[in-house]
Amino acid sequence: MNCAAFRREMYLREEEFEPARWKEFQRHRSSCAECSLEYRNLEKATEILARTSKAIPLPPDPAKMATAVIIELEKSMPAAGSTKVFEAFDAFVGWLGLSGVKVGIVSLLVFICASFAVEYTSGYFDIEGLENSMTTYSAVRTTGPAQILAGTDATDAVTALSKIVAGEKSFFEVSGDWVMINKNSLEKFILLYNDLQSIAPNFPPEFRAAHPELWKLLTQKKAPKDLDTIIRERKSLIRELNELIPQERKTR
Amino acid sequence: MERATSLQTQNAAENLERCRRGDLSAFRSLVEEFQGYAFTLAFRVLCNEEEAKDVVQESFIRVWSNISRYDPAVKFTTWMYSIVIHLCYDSLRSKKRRGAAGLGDLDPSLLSSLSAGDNPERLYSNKELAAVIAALTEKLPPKQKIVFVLRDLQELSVHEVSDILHISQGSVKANLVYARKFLREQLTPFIAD
Repeated sequence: MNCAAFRREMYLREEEFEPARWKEFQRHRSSCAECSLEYRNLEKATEILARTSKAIPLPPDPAKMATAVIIELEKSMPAAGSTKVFEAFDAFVGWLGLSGVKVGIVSLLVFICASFAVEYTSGYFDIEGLENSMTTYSAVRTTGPAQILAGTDATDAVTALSKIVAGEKSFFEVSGDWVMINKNSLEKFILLYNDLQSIAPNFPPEFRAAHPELWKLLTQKKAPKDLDTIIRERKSLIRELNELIPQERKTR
Repeated sequence: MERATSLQTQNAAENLERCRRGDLSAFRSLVEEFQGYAFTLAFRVLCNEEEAKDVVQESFIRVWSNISRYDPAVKFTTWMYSIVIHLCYDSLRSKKRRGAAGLGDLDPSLLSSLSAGDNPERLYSNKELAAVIAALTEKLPPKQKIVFVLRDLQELSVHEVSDILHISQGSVKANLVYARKFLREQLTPFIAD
């Protein structure tokens, strides 16, 4: 080892060297007076840093910190009796007077918008956005959908659905394979997707025959692998979904 | 002591398992047991007590939210530290670099207690300690600062630092060399005989 290498490596500690290299380092140190002096000076700085590491900050009170964390967690958990969301959804559907198929179509539109909005809040995205969204959904879902539902309520679902039904173009626009999302959230997506799955069994056989990919997506249980399989077949799925988007929403 | 550590580990493992099943009381115990470690790390990186508390709180919320992804083969503290560091790193990068303090800005009495070496038992208040660490490390780039804090202040092994930061051990050592060299240069005027 020469002086340049010694001075480059002298900032490492013994345990950070390979044993053979440490021997070379020590040999040079004992044979070179200048490097040895340089190393002794460095040890003083090292000692100060070591002293600093012994000074431990006084931590917060454990019980208070635990309480603060739990309070924050509880804020983000769904309230007991979250079935109220579904009851409100059913009431809304009844109020609209829609048939099962229409409800399915409307909900699918919301589903598609929300799918793209999972990872993006604005801008144009191609159909791969759906794959990303579904992957995110699968990953997040395994950590507990209860957490994801945090912050949602019936108002969100009703607002989203009413925007579609009222034909507000601000909700999304479709241009070929591109969809523009103006707003939405992961929470809303999960909530509406769950709603959609719950009503899917009521869809008539004609719907199933006309939209096999959608049917599969809606009726398969929430197993990530199954969803992944469906995502791989997304081309036909996207085609079917696009067919459901009203022509007037397509900008070209 | 060894037995106490073993019991603590066993206790933590049980609490973690209960947390996986959604047991909030077990989670409370976990927070109480480990929040001090998380705070010390966040405090040393951020040099600010309030910001450190916020990071600790957010870190434990993430621990709870991601508990199903925790691999019991990995030490819980390693996993927890990686969450804390991730949040600290974001904070360091987003925080506008205030005029970075240097050793020259440090209270002379703190400085002498650092360099004289005649008072190893000196107890610092959190404010004083934050000032000391900030004076030493504020001018380091975030990555070097974090590597330095984990290795030299938290006294974790190179292997653990590598696991926490998901970088190679070679990269850990390279960052350490730069950080220590810089700190040595900073300290030189104050330790000259």
